[in-house]
Amino acid sequence: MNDKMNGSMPEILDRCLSRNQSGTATIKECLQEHPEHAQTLATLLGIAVEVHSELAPPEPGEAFVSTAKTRLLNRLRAAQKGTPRAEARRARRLRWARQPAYILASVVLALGLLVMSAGVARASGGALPGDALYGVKRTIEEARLALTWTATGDAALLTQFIDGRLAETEALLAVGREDDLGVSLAGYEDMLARLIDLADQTPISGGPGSLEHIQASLARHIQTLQRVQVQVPPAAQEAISNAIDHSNRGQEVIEYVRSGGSPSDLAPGQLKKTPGQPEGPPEDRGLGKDKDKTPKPKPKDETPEPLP
Amino acid sequence: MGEDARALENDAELIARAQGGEVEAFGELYQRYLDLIYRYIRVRVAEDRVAEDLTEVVFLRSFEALGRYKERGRPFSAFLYQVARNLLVDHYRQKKEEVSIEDANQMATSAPTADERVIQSERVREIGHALTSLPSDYQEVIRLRVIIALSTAEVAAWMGRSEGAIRVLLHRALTALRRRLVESDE
Repeated sequence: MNDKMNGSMPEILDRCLSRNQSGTATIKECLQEHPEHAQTLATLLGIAVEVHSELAPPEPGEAFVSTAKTRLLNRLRAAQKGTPRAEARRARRLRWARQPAYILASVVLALGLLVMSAGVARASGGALPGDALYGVKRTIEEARLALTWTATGDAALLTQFIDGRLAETEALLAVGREDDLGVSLAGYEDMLARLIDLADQTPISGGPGSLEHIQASLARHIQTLQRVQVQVPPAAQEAISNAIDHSNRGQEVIEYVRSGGSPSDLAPGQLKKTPGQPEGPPEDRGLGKDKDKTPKPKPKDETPEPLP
Repeated sequence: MGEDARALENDAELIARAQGGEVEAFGELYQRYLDLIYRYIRVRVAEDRVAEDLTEVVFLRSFEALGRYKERGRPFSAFLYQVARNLLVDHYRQKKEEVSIEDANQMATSAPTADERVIQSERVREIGHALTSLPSDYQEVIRLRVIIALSTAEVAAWMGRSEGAIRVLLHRALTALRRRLVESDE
């Protein structure tokens, strides 16, 4: 057998290691099959075998295996009983959204919209909250997310759509439509929370969707929001302030993930809501028709703490 | 349908049930992956008892985070591995004690004689020291592919790389380990 048939050195090494581990071939047999690489293979396979024999961990103890499952299930049941209602509601919503029928219907709807409404879709690109085509624009965004297969792809799209929400906010201000700001800011916060949930599934560096890219985007968003904050009427400032808080906490979570942590280590809902923050979307928190409403004091920021 | 695909399908069903709040379904997943996760953690910590505690915490955290889990073609074990890695980072940070792999495995050996123990521990320490001086991805591929003896496909899924990339990484890692061992012999 020649080299081309056998593959590269890493492939041969990996194949020999697999066969040795499964007991289908000895190292000697592998070396005989690859005389041209025999010396290197003998060295590297020898090290692999020695490392395994010296450092392989023991099996879990019998006592542990026999009792651990019962103990774990009891702890899980106890934890379930203590689940706050809000978390249960969120879990139910997520479960519903994961139903195959729902996913299939979303994809079919999305494809239908994409195929039949290409013109409408193009036209909806510049739609703002309150415009007739704004719903189409958001539906197409969700469809694009549903058709993405990787976490990095999702993260890249979500970053792009979050940019879009901010651009909408600025455009609404430019045309004096402050009443509709709540919709774009609610979209901003929702998509930001979804983006942060993906943080531990995306690469640290690279192009769109990487943690570096997300961090840079968040820094840009905070600058934009701070610039916008001084332009909006007092009634809208609280909502902008909340969006800045969310972006800052997003930065903290990304930093935490980059240092080896995981969003799952943070308490449920920690990023999405600061304790003391009022319930409901931004349109119910100082935006919308009730422009004269006095802004509530900015909630105190709290640093996320890892779960015990 | 291959074995991997069948396992994925079975896991998916159990995961869906567990996401629906069915604790027993998660218990099945626990039974399925207990050994694998325990061994990965046991390679990284010195004592059986600590490894057992951390293994339980991995599954508790995984259950809590299950609502955010998406399959995306990666096995459930890769998700557990991510949780385990994050937990180990927290563990080292909190305890402020980086337990060396040689110490961990020294404790794992089963009752050798006194002479054997001296010789064995020296070699274990030597290999462990050389291993921990390598870049982290080299260490990790050796732990997963050589020490725990996962398949290339499993290592690729766990580390989020292609199988080809894992083969190249393993080749480089073993070459670097050999170089370090030669240097330490000299």
